[in-house]
Amino acid sequence: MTCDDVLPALEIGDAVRGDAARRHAQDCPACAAAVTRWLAVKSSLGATPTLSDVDRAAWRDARREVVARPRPRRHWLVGAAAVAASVAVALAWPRPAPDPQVAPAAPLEVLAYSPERAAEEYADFDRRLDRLDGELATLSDRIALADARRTAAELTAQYRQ
Amino acid sequence: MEEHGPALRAVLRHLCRRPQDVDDVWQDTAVRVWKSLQQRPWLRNPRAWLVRIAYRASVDHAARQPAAGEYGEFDRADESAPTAHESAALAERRLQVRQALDALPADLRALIALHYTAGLSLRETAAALDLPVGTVKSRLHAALNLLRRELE
Repeated sequence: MTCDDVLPALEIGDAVRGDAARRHAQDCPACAAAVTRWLAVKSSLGATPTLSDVDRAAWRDARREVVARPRPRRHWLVGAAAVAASVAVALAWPRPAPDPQVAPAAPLEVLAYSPERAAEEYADFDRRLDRLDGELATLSDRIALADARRTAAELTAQYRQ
Repeated sequence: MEEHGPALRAVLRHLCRRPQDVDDVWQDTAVRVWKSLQQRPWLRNPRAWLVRIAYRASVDHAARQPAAGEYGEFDRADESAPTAHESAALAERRLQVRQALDALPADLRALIALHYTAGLSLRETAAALDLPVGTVKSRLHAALNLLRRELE
């Protein structure tokens, strides 16, 4: 606690800092005098003399001046009324009837997982894979046969020449 | 006004640099208050609301005035003279306080006036000055040390 911290600690510090400031002021004559002076100043700052008649009159005159002026119209009321009228017209406006041919969409089927269904799908996939394998083997045989025929045709052409 | 008017007037004395400015801002504040009361008749904290309006009015008034250096010596004759209900010692102390406050920068002076003269809490003072509470605390720290040096 320094001397500069004494008055702030007393005024805006918490209880601990305030107590430390008081103990510091007990041991420091300069701070003790500063605290005494400050208490007098604080009392003087808070002293408020009564209002003079002139001040009261000025206050009353100001009220008369303000009351005498026409109050500004509340334009927001006009705006709010216009918005409310627009909404009412929009709600009451006739709308085209909905198309009767359009049927409501059916709800989507939600498939739940089951082991039997998974096994069935796997067996189907296995069958399709076997069928595709057979088709590939047939195609490979055809390609080999076509190559053999081409080779035979080339050899035959060479011998004829 | 009976309850908060004296504090409001005292705040304006601290915020304004000349007595005639106090009268002008007082009138301007009254006009603003009556206008605002027509729109929001119910107030949770009337004093904080009044002080905030007075502070804004003083800031606007100061912005319309020439620089402070052109005023020369401040006219504090009416403040130094003891009134019927004030003792000479109290008037002397008030004069010293006034001189110490005048030595502060305007933002710190406003802070002191709102917090100690108007009696606003730190949160209300921060709201009136449009500052965070932490900034108000740090400025109050600086203002207290400046005041201490001025009064030594």
